[in-house]
Amino acid sequence: MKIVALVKQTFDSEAKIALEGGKIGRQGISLIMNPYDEYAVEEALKLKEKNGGEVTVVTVGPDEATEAVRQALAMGADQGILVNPGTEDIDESTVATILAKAVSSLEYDIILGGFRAIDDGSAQVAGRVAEILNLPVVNMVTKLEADGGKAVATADIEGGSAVMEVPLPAVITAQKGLNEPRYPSMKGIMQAKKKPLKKMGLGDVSLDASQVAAKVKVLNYSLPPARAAGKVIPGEPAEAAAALAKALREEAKII
Amino acid sequence: MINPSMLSTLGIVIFAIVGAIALYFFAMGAVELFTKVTLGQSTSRNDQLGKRLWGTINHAVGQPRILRQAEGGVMHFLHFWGIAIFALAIIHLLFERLFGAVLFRSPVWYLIADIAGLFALVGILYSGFRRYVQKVPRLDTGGWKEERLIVLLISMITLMVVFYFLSYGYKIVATASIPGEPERYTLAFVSSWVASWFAGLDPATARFWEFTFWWLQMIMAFGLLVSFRYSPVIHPAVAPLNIFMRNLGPKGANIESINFEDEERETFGINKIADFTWKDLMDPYACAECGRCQDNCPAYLTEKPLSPKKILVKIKEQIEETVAPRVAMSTEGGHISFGVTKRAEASEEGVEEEEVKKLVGERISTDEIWACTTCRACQEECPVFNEHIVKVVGLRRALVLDESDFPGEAQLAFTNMERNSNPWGIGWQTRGDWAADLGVKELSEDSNVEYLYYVGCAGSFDERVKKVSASLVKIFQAAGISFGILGAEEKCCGDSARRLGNEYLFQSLVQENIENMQNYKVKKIITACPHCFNTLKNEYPQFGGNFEVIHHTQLIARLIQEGKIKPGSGGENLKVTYHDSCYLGRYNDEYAAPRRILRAISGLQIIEMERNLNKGFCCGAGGGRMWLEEHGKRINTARTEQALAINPEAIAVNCPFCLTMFEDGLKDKEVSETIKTYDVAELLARTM
Ligand code: SF4
Ligand code: SF4
Repeated sequence: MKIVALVKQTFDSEAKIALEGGKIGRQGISLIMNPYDEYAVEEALKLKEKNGGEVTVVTVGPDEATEAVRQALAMGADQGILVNPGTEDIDESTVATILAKAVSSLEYDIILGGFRAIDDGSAQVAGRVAEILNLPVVNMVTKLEADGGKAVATADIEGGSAVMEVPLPAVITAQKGLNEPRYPSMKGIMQAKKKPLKKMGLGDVSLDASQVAAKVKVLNYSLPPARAAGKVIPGEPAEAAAALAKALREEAKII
Repeated sequence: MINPSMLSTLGIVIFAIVGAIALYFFAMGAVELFTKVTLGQSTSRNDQLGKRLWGTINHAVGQPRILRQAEGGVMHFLHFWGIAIFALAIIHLLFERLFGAVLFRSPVWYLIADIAGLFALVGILYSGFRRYVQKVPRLDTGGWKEERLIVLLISMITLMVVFYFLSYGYKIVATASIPGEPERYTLAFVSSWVASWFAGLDPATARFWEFTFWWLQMIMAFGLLVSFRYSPVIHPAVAPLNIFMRNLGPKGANIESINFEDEERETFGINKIADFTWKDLMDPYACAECGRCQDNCPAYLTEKPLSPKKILVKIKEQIEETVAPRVAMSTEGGHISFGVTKRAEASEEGVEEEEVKKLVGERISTDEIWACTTCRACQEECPVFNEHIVKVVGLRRALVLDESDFPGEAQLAFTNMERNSNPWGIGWQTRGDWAADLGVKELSEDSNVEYLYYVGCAGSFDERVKKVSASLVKIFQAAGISFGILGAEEKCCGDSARRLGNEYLFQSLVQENIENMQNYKVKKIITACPHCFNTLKNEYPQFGGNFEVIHHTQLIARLIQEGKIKPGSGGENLKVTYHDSCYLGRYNDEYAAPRRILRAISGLQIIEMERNLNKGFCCGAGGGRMWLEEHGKRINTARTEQALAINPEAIAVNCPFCLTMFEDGLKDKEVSETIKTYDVAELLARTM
């Protein structure tokens, strides 16, 4: 089975976000593999363990995103591809176009990715890739079985779950709960250093800047207001409750 | 005149043959043992020979560790010394039998020999009594199959002594009329008493029995030599060697580092017998299975599957079943055949035998491996200086580094340490925030300070422990100490990572910390946590980080002594019990400083728990267990109960983990409203 996993490098979820010149500062931020993509990689490895085959990890991002690919390789993926778009001005369509182009040069039976990334949270990229490659897609999958020519996936839907069957190749996006991503062993880490990791530019996937120009432009970033300190209302329970109700109505204006 | 106590020529020939056979078996046993032990990896234990020898003599002669346990101690002391001197008596008699030479004629010698024999007899019978009548729990007396060799051993030693006395009794009767002979035995009260049973027997008959029982006694002695090859109980022969080869390094630096630069290396943990060091493989043979370690193990005492003794027993079983180079007899279809037992694990081709249990996960279960808190109670107690903890850490390395098979909570802690340099996973940039309003310098602003105050993860991120950090700042400022912190540049010290088996993560944290500290030319470090203390002090030197490290209680005790801090009154009379943390106490032998601080605060009454000082009971959080789930009876609850048994009003600790564990334990026991836990520094700071 030829398996492709799409990954993105994101900020660590605990990272302290600061704006520098109207943009999100990258200074001193720990970078991690998007946790949803980690589920996707883990699922890819499980499919490989069950059906045999090969896992290729593909990412779009700056050179430092190789770390995320290395992590996937250390977990057990066989090879990695990083396409550096050469600009920070990218949006979901840019990334999806590049990914689809890179993937189309590979053989694949199934394409896995996180259903969203924890940074921008737009949940568009995997779906767009499916669209470009003209493949079926099942989103937010919490359970997956795939062999032969089809995949049976349990997907989260509003208020419940749905079991769906799709012919392969297909795009499957991972939701939390799909699996517990493994921690790379030392052997994995050592081997990852020797596994093939191709770094490419736009030209290498036969694209030029105009084909991937961002269609959405961010006008302005702003940080959420700092959380105000909590307030303790003293007094007897009955009095305190009355004071609380008053505060909620008059100060917080929520009741 | 030929001494009539001499053997005939035929006797000498027979003796020589039997002796040679016995020695052959003994020698083969020694060779086999050597082969088994040297399957292990190299480790150096031949430095400081004088100290090694002196320690061996001290522990063999005085047996301080054994005598800590009164009954078992006396038992061991008696038969150890009994048999040792008794062996000389046998050799002494041998000279007479073979060469007609009587080396000592003084009656005192025969008195000593008799006393030794008596000690040996009483000691060995008492050991049997403890094992089979009292059934002392820590000995874990097994069924007949496990016990038969031990029963045989006890019987052989008993008979050897009995035969010796019978032989001497008859000898006294036989030689009664030979001039000069009776004078030898005037003080030999046991032998003379035995002789009194046979008084009046004619000398020739007495001679016959004297020789008969002597032969029987020698057969037992030779039997013991032969048994060395087959018995699992060769502790007496190996124990002194093991004490000699004990680890003389700092107790906190026993874990060996892994060289990750070595590209050839394929595995990093202890996956099979040959991955242990030779010393690890010798330990189980030195072990007397006395169970002293297990009797002090917090995991064992709270009914976890781990017993430090059993870890050693299982390693021995694994060696015997998989690699023991031994010719064995078996019957196949009614025919007797000889074959060499398989050396599966260690064989040169590296064949894994299917029937052989895997060392990690099968022989020793993963639950056993994860249960250890690395509290060192076992090692502190072990009379033969066995080293349990490095084995546990090695086995964990196999699970973490090689198999990537470990509890999910550990994975979370690792990922958190990787990304945010603390096990909680709180954003690393906020590490110094606790000190924001306390007027504490960060080294990045001004590194011209005497001390780096290395705060540690708990002191930086845990709400409760941040108060301890603030207390420390108050004390340091009051004493006029010049200090600074690293703030967001500080990383986890790596103690938990290393002890959970993640040496790779440990080393990456260590390297970053050392680099930062060296950047700021740090010389002296204060730590507020005994885990940081031990790691920085004892383990960082393995990686080129040489700093003068001091635990906050040591520094504070010194400041009080120098008069730089004036403790006030603790207010109303407060009854406090002090809990020794493993890493300050057993690992670094600091029991006094924290108690000195408490004593300096007027109004505090210090009461001691039953298990204290080097017998202190772990809180349950060491060895990375802080981050793992604990199932069944909790160690911290057990320790809290021990504290509650002496009715304290407060519990004083020196470690953030102990603090958390006690607070949880007190909550469990529903007394957290009335009994509080404080760091020693907090008790001081609130009086200032
Ligand atoms: S390891 Fe030491 S303390 Fe434990 S049973 Fe063996 S000899 Fe006794
Ligand atoms: S270190 Fe402590 S927990 Fe671990 S085996 Fe020894 S006594 Fe038990």
